[in-house]
Amino acid sequence: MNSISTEKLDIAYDDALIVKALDMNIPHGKISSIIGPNGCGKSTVLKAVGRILKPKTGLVYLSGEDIRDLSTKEIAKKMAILPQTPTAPSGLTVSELVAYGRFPHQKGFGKLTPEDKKIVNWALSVTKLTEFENREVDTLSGGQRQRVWIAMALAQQTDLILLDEPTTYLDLAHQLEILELLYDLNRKQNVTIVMVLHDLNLAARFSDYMIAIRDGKIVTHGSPEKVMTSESLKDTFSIDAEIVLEPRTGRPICLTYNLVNSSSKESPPQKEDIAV
Amino acid sequence: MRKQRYTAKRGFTILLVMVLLMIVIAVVSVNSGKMNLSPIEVFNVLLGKGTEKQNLIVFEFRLPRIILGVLVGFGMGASGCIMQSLLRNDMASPGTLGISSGSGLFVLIFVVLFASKGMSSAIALPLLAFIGGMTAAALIFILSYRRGRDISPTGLILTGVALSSGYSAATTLLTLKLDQNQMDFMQRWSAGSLWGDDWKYLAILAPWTLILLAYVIYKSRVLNTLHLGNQTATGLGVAVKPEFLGLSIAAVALSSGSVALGGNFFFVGMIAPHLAKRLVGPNHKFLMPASCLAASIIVLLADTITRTISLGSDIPTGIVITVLSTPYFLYLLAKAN
Repeated sequence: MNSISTEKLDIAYDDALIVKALDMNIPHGKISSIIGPNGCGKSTVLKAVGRILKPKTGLVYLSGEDIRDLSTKEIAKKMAILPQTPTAPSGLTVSELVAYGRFPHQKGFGKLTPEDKKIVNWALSVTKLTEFENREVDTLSGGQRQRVWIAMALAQQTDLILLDEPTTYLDLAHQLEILELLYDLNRKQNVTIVMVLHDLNLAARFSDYMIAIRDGKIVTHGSPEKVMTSESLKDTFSIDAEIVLEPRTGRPICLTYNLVNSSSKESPPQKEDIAV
Repeated sequence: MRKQRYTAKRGFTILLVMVLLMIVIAVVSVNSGKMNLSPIEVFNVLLGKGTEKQNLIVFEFRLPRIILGVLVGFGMGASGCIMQSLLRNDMASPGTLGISSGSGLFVLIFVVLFASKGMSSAIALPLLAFIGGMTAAALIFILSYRRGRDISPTGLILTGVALSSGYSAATTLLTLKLDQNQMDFMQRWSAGSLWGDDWKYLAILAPWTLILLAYVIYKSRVLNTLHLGNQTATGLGVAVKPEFLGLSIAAVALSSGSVALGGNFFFVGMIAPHLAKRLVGPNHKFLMPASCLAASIIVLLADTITRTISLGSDIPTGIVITVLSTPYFLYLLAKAN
């Protein structure tokens, strides 16, 4: 069953067509990553699916329903979306921001019910933020802040979360921390995760399904084993990549790579070449 | 200074203190002026036991002026707060965006064309100011709009600043056509004179301001999400375009009422939301009322000072506010850098 599917999606900025006739299916209950070179339209696709951007033509289905038939509030009960590097107003506390995630479920003036508070506390504990609940968001570190936004999305209680490069500006350890959190959410809470990722190896390590996009078209899609091949990376990024199985996880990784048109296969010069 | 966090309890306490402060200033304000009345005399008047002269002073001069000051403050405070949150920029306000100047220009055209001395039509002025404000807002929007792109707050503000100098030029040009009476009125208006202190104007301004205020306070939850950015707000299920439009129109309408009957209070709309944010934090359920109260306190305080300390001829309230606010504004700028 598909969580999201698109049909002949054309997305344009002004007159420039960024995404062309895109047919994409996102499997339910899995972690899917969209990869591709800069400017290939991967964020654009995510935005169109998340109804932040209106496609020029084509359809987006959310669990089989045309999103144009759903109100934005109904959609927000089924799908949460985290834009790239969102910012919180200064002075806002962690628990307040997470409570904003209850928005689509509230009515009128929006006083938090005991039920709402329970859900907010659950979201805080899943993201290990309970001890920070009274801290101001803008005083937290980058990794903690990203967890707060994920907690807000969790408070929305949706089956599906879209994330646009959730690991941007984070160091190695914090990147892993965020992806492991998302992995746990998927495996334990059965949340479908769709994200745009820059790091191929992290995408291969954590995804069940990968979609490689170039120039607004899908180059290849499927399991990491299918997408992480020299062949498809060449078609997607114009790189000549050496793919091996990672010893710890058994997932395919890109060990090293060159540009396809690069003159020397082994730049930079090796140690032996220089030392005489 | 790392202040304690903003809780609901703290929010309510601060709002209560602000209301009390406003009442105290209002009472002092009723007492003071060219004719001093003691608090006891004022109290007697309010109980209906005052002399005819005292009644006249309280009910016809001081009370309407205080109510006007409060309403003008509410309008400017709420309007500035909405604009700062929608644009996510602390420099946004009816003054900096040129909305007030747009309203002012239309008020001036009205003065030139129709009213020679008595500002006869009470409803026409706020309406014209509203049309002027909306025209200004639409112009800013059209000029900074790029198809398919998010509108940049900085772009909007710069366009507003540019346009407002255009309005000033047009205003100056029109001013040359005025006779002495109109000229005096315009000068005092543009400095913020709280001129509409008459019950017939208040009967229009009070419902105008209070109804709009009820709407924006009802929308505080939406403002909270829009303050996170349009994309995040969409993700949370906010219909961004209609809500943004509705709140912008409300902000322009609120400032127009204040501008039409109070005058051009440039700084209040920018500084009151700032002060409020420091006191109660960014949650609009507290921020919006706090912003209104802060603005009213500033206007009332300035007006009381103006009427108590006689500096020769009557100086407009707005001048006092500008003098008081400039150091705060400079402090903010210094801190932002």
